[in-house]
Parts: sequence; structure tokens; C-alpha cells
Amino acid sequence: MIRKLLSSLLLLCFAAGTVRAQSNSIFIPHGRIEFQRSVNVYAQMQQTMEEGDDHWVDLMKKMANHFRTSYFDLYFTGNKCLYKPGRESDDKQTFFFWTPPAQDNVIFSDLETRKCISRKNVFEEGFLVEDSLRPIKWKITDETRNIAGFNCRRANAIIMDSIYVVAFYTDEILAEGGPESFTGLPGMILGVSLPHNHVSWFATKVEAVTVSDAQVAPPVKGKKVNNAGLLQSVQPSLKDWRKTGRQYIEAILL
Amino acid sequence: MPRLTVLLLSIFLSSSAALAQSSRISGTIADTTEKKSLTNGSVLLLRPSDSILVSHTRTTAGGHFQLIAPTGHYIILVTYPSYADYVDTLFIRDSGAIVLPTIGMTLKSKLLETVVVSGNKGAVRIKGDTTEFNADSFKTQAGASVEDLLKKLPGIQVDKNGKITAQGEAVKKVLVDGEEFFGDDPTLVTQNLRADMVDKVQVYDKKSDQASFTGIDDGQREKTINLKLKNDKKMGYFGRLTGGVGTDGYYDEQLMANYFKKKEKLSAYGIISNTGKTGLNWGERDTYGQSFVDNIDVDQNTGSFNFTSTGNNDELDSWSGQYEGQGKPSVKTGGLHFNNKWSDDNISLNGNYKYLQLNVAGNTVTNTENILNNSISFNNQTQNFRNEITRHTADGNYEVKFDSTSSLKIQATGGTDHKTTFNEFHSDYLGSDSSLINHNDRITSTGGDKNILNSYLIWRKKLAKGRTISMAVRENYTDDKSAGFLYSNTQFYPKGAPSYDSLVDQLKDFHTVTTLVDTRATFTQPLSKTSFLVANYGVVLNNSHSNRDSYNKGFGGKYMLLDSLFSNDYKYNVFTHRGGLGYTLIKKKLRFALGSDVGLTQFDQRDLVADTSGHRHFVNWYPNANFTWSFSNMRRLGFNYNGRTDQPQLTQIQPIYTNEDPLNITIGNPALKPKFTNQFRLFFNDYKVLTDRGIWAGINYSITENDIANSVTINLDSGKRVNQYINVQGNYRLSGYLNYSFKWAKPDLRFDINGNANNSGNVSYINGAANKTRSATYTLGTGIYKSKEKKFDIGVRFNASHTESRSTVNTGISTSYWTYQIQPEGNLFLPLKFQIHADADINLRQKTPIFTTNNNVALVNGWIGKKFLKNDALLIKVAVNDLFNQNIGFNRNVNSNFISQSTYTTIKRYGMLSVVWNFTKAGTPMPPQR
Repeated sequence: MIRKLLSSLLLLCFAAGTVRAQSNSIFIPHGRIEFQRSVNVYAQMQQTMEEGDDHWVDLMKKMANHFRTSYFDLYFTGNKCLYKPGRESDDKQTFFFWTPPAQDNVIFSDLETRKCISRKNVFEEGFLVEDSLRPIKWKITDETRNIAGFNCRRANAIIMDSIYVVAFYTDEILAEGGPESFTGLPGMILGVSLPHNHVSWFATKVEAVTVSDAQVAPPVKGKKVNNAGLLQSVQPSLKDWRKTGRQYIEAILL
Repeated sequence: MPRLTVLLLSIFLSSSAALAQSSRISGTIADTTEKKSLTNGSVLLLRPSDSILVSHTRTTAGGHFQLIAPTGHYIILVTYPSYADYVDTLFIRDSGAIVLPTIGMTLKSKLLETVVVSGNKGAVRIKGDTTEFNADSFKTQAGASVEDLLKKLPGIQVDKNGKITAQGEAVKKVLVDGEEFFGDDPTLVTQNLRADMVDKVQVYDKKSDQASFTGIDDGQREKTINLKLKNDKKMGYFGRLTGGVGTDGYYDEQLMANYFKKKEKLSAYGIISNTGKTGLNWGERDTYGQSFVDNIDVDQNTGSFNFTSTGNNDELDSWSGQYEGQGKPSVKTGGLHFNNKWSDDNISLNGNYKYLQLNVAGNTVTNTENILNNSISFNNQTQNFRNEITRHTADGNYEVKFDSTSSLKIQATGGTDHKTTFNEFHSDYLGSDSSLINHNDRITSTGGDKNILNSYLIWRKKLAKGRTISMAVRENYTDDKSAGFLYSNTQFYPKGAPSYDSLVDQLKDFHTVTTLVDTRATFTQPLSKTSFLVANYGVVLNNSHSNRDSYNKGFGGKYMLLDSLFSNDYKYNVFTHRGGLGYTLIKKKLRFALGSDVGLTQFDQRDLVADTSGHRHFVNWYPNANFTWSFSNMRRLGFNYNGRTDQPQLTQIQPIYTNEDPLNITIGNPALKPKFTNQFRLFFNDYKVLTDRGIWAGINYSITENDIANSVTINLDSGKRVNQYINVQGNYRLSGYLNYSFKWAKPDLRFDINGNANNSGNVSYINGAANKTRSATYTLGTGIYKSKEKKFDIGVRFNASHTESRSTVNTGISTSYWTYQIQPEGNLFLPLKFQIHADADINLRQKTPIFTTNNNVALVNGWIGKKFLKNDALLIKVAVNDLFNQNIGFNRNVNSNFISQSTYTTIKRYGMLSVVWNFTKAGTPMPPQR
């Protein structure tokens, strides 16, 4: 019975198709994680809908796919992580050319000094945001889930006073980082969902490869600001955009 | 000394008190059975009240760990891959070091798995492989959570840890409207998903993500629950009632109302007015009528959108709702609109009915200068008109999505117009020495009925491997009957000869029936992930039958003598086979399309009275090319070319002499060829969101082969003109525009600057000789705007425009003049909910050698109003239109070899008191005020 369980457990590891060592006590100190980011475009459109706009929203839905998928790579080694856009998505090209800002961030996190350097493209401006890593008060739960072959534990939190975050982390990866600005759990975050903002990141594969210093070098180009400065730069133009403006500001400051 | 001791003591005490706040905890973790130490294990300290992570660390080589935490109660959680979690409470009583006993960890595989009990398989509604439950049929307590709802549904179980099993299998994923659902944590989020928000619960076996993506079934299935949420909108109504009474007999009464229940909408409107409003404007139609959004079709392949309509509806729709024409209008109009969606939005129905009764009356004065070979002549005309139209239209729209691959759309419009017109003209024709050549008095009156029935049907289907096919049929049918009288008396004053009279007294009887059937089948074949080929084929049938008869008075004063010169019974049938091929490439930054249609057209023309017929064949081309480059989301460069063939119209081709104005006779030309226009367009747009700076620029050029123009023969002695339609070469239009808008941040001002240039060349024939006219208009304008929310908004526009024209028939005479326009507008929001609005339209028009009056006009309007009731639902305002009583209808027109200027009656000064009441059902938010 126990052998059957053990062997089925091992089979599950193979079937999940991840590159992992067989021994179950190897901790991964460096490697590359591919994340799939998924945005529920229809739900976001619905959120920005004003009274009486429903047939406009129906029309916009016809012009766009239900979900928008993109891929990101997270390189980590020791206490440094670099998150940046990865391979091309397989989404069918749609005519809906108005994509929100900050969809292709490059984020460097130094988990030791708690510093963070991000390159965010917001409309016609490319910002280089230098600030400290966001401190997040995580609530640990008992719920677990398998992501990319790793057993992950769920944690919930609230960031920016109102955004609800659900994250899944694994203690098998030593670096305590994650996609975008989500860090601070006792392990690597392999899944994040912002349910009320309708966007999520989930790891599709983890490769325990050596990562050179050049591969985790921070971004350098862009208009230098900190988080407060970033908000100040975008708020004047977006404050008149009502619900859409609020959605964009949240996406930019994430 | 004692003071120093106290100081030192207090420092020592406070620091040890600080030390007393936190404690150092150390310990070791090890495997219970094999006694092996575990490196890199995770040790977490959580707050017991809310599980918030306070501190954490990893174990070192010997399984040792150290944590620093303030005194208090904690939960300690130790995790290690493949081992069961170790959870315990920890009370840090005081400061100092605490050494915990060794924590023993046990492998998960050594513990028993929990066994899931399967429930009975009950289903309420099975949809394919999906079992669907209607959430409302399972009663839950008010405010119950989704988990409570799921527990009630047959076949679904939720255990104490929240784990869900459905139909005997553990549910892997819970989705909400297709997106994965992670339960809301009630201590963090108050906006939980409640049972009463759920419309349907669907339970099905989802194919693995891989299988869904590649389309290849790998046999893996996951039990999934999908929750479909209810449409937020409940039920309500809102509307607007306007009552206005003014001086000089002006009135304006409007009622618009809208009732909605979920996806069903019913609205009605009625307008009785003589202030120029003749229908709903764009924004009102979106709210109270059929939004034009319902007529937009999105092409699934390119994502581009286009308006579908049954065609030929221009006359049946008042686009602006404001009357901008000549004369004084009075209107009674109303309409009903209904729309609803069923079956998850798969079936939708729209229906409309509209009634319009419009009376317009007024006077027009027109002065025309005709430039001839070696002379000029003048025409001065006054016109008095009274027109009335009564119109009924009904239209509907039905769309059904059979499944995810096929859909059908049917649109139909039907209408009847009853029109009566009455015109009285007096005109003088003068020679270049201002001597009178002829004088004419004329009355025309007609009464007629026009019936229209148009429909459009399109069926679309997606085939395997990305192919699509569609079939469309359009039908337009028009039946136009009118009868009337022409009474015209002209006195001629030839040089050196006695004057003489000419009288035309006729009954006119016209009947035209046109039928259009346009069919098209389209097939698309993908060539790669980013490109595809489109092939289309169809036939177009365009048949017209026009019977126009003129009768002179016979014996007994009855109109019974057919005047064959001005009568004709004609059939004009055009039949086209049309097919084509196109290639489209869509990439992230680049879109490119190239293709052409070719048509084999057959003209069949029959004169039923003379019993003659003519057949002609043409090959028509419809090439097009399209290129767009997106530098970024908001910066785009594009180029567009298309070639288009237009057939001659019935009125141009029918070989009849038209003498509604006996001094200006028009003759149709049955030998007219179709015209072909090449159109080129280049444009560039760039908008910077953060600085609110926009650039829009473009150039358009079009050149036409076989354009249809007039050949005029003027008899200089009598002033009579005869126009015949002919094909000419070389007509072109060239235009360019540049708009630049930006915001000056500091004073919060918005600016825009725009420039337009229009240049055109026209060919016509005058007394047998070719005449080329080149005209140009250049405009430069600027606008400044500033607004402060709830305080004021003001703006002003300036425009300067220069028009010039030169004709080869007489190069000595050229037209050139400037016009200037100043348009300020402002709103002031005062305390106590008062508002003042004022706007002006000041036009300064330069005199010309011919048009010696300036016709400068300062048109100033304004109103003062106050809002009452909560929600500002009631507005009472006093308005004045055209404060200085200067409004004149004005039109200056430059066309080939004649230039004309006309002024006409229009609405002038009046004052009006209006009450506007926006009403809504309690709880319904107000619709957007556009």
C-alpha cells in the first residue's frame, strides 16, 4: 500500500514534466522559472463599465479575446532575482490595440538589501523605479496546491490597502522571491492571483540551472523615479479616466 | 552625582526593558524514524489570531535554527518537502534565550490518506457534458456563502476543510465565469462571493489545459465547477421630460423614457417642437433608441469592424436631430424601441417604430455669377417654399448564435413617406452690362408617396483549421410615385428685337420602381498563424423602371396631351458578376492587406415608348491595398489605396428632357460610362497619454476616370441653358490636414491648432469648349479651453479661411475671399445650483466684386438656469436664441464656372422658458448625460 502510494507519487512527478531531482530533499538555490500571466479581459472590461454602457462593453468583448496570456521568466540566484518578459504568447492577434500600461515590466529584487529596481513602460514613457521591496503582511494557510510539480502552500494578503492577493509558495526553492513585486514568503512564490483585479501569474516550469550575474543584472534605462514619484507622474493624466483610470493606476503601481 | 546615577539607571533599565521585549528562540528539527537532521527546513512563527507571518528562518546544516521574536503567543509551523507539517503553539513568556526540544518530523507517505466518500449522482439539467444547476432553485440563507450553496446541490459535497467533491471525484478547480476562483478570506476581504450572486453552477470534466490548447485530446480530465454570475442589472426606469414655451410662437416639448429589466429594454420618445430639433441626437439615441453599436459587426479574422445596415437608409434617419437646413421647421415626431437577449446572449432581437411629421417653410434669395468665354452673366432669384413630409418607419434586427461556430443575422427596414412640396420662384437674368435678358415667374407643386422595403441577411460559419465561410444577401426595394404641376411664365428681352412671352403649363406624373439584390459568398483560408487568404463571389442585380410623363392642357382645360419631348418610359438594368481575392497579414506591429475584385457588368437599357434598346458590357475593377505600422500603442502610420467603380445613376442616364425649370433644361445621356475613382490616403496619429499631446495628420488624393459632369450650352440672347451629362477625364481632389493638441500644465489650459488645405480640379464643357476649374480652400484655426470641475468651463475657437477659384474659360476673372470665424463658449456654475451658459458664432465674410454685401453675423445665445430637487433632477432655465437678431442662413458656393451666394430664412431671435425634469425609479442611477 505504502509502496504503491510512493510509486504513484513518483509517477506524478514524472507526469508533471518538470526538471527535478528524484531525491525529495534537494533545495534549489538558483534557476529559471517560466510564469504564465493571465488577464481576464472581459472581467476587467466589466469592471470599468459605467451605467448604460453595456452594449459598448458587449462590442468591445467581440473585438478581444476572453483572456490575454503572456509569459515571463524569473531568474534567481542566491538573494537576487530578475523578472522579465519571456517568450511570445500564442494568443490570436486581435484588433483591440488599446492594452493597459505596465504589461511588460522588468523587475530586479535584491532580497538581502530589500531593494528593488523596476523598468515599467507606461504609455509613451519608460520609468526606472528605484525603491525598497514592498513589505507584505502574509497570512499563512493550510491549503496546498501542486504548481509545476512543486507542493505549494497558500498565503493571503492585502496590498496597497485594498488589493486582495492569493499566493502559493514552495519552501523547496531557497530564494524568497516571486513574480512582479511579490516577495517575503518563506520560499519562492510560484503562483499569485489578484482575484478582484482579474490577473494571475502561475509557474509553468522550473529549471534548476546555473544563473550568471549578468542574467540577474538590474535594468538601467528609463526616467528615474521612486514609487511616490511614479504615482505623481501618472495621476494627473489618469484621474479623469474614472474607473479605467483607477484600474490603470493599480496596474502601474503593482 | 545622584542625577547621573538616575540617568545611567534609566538608560540601563530601558535597554533591558527593550531586551525584555524580544526573546531568542533556538531549536533543532530531525527525522523521527531515521534520526537524520534536516537542512533548509522552514520554521515559521505566526500570530495565532490571524495567522499573519511574523518571523521565519531556514534550518542550518545540523537542522538547527534561531529566531528572534517579541514576547507573546505564537503558532510555530515547521515544514520540509515530503514531510508532514509540524504545528504547535508557542508562548514566549519573557526575554532571554529559549531552547525548544527537538522537533520530530514524519514523512507524509507514512500517514494514511483520507478516503473520499462518493455521493449519489443527481443532476438537474444536463447540457452536453456539463451538468448545470440553476442556483435560485436551491434556497440558502440570505448572505450565505458560495460554499453553503454548493453543499446544497445534489452530487456535490464540501468537507470541513472546504474540499469539494462532485459526482464522486475531487473537484480540482472552481471557476467563476471562466476564471479560476480562490475563496475570499473573510478576515481580509469583505466583498465575498455570495450565493445570491450566482446564476448557474456548471459541473463538467475539463480537458487538460494542454489538450484544450493543442486541440489534441490526451485523455486527461479534471473535475471542474464553473459558477456563472448573474447579470448585475436588476430593473428600473428613467427618463426626461422637457416643456418649453417661448416668444414669437416658439415651443419645445419632449418626453423620453426608458424601462429596463435585466437584458430587456423598452423605450419611447415624443417631440413636438419648432426650434429646430427634429429627432434624437447621437447620445439620446444611444439611451432611448437603438444604439448604433447594435449595427456594428466585428470581423472575427481581422478584428476590424464595420457598420451593417440594410442600405439606402440615409433619408430615413435624422442623424443630428438638429435642423440645419433652410427655412423654419415644425416637427411632431415619436418612436418606440424594444430589445432583449435570450439564451445566454445567444439570441437577440431589436425592434423600432418611428413616426415623423415635418413642415418647413421659408424664403431664399440667390445671386449667381456665370463666367463665360468672353462675358459674364448674372442670375438673381427669390424663392418661397412650403414643404411637408409624413413618415412611418419600422425596422428590426434579429441575431442568433447557433453554437460557437455559426451565427445568423437578419435586418429589415420598411417605411412610407408622404411628401408635398410647393415652390414659387421669381428670377431675373442679366447680361454683363446688367441689361435684363429674361424674367421668369414659376410655381411648382407636387404630392408623392415613397415606399421602401430593405433587408439584409448574413450567415457565418467557422470551419475546421481556422477556415470560415459566410453568405450574405441584401435587398432594397423602392417605389416612388409623385404627381404635380408646373406653371412657368417667362418674358424674353432680346437685343434689338421686340420682347416675347413663353408659357409652360403642365401636369407631371412620375413613377419609379427600383430593385437591388446583392449576394455575396466569402471564404477565408488561413495561410499561417498570422496571414490568410479571402475569396469572394457574388452577383448584383440593380433594376430600375422610371416612367415620367408630362401632359399639356387639351380640350376642356384637362391635362391630357402627352408632351413626348418631356416624357419617357425607361428601364435601366445593371447585372454584375463580381468575384475577388485578397491577402491579409496581421502581426503585432504590422497589418497589411492586398487584393482586388473584378466585376463583369452588363447594362441593359430599354426605351419602352420608342421601343429601342441598348446593351453594353464593362469590366470593372475594385483593387485595394492597406498598410498600417504601429510604432507603439498610440503611434500609428497608415497608407490606404482603393479603386472603386460607380455606375451612372438613373436620373443621369434616362434620355429625358427635364424642364422643372424651363430656363435650365437637363438632358439624360444613355451612353454614359461607369466612373472609376483611384483613392489614396496617408495618415499619421500620435497621442501621448501622460502629457495629453496629440498629433493627427493626413493627406488624401483621389482622381477619377470618366467622372460624370455637365456640358452646358447657354444661349446668350435668351439666357436659356441646356445641361447634358457627359463623362470627363481629369477630375481630382487633393486635401491635407494637420491637428495638434496639447495641454499647458501650469495654467491648466488645453490648446489645439489645426490646418486644412483642399484643392480640386473639375472639368466641364461650356458651349462646346472644355473648361477646367481649379478651386482651393485653406483654413487655419486654433482653440483654447480651460475648465474647473463644478466651477466653470470656457473655450474659444478662431478660424481663418481663404477660398479661391479660377476657370480656364475666362482667366481674367477669378474669385478670392477670406472668411473669419470666432466661436467663444462658456459655462459658469454659481452657488445655489445656478448655471449660466453663453455661446457665440461670429462670422466675418469678405466682400467680393460680385457679392458686395458682407453678410457678417454675430450669433449669440445664452441661458440662465437653476437646478432643484436632490440629484439635481429638475432644471428651470430661461434662454435666448440669437440675442442680436442677426441670424441669416448663408451659403457661398464655388462650382466650375459659376459662383453663387444665397441667404435664406432661418430661426432668428426668440426667448424661451423651459423646465427639464430627469426622473428615475428610486435606486436606479441616472443615465450618463451626454
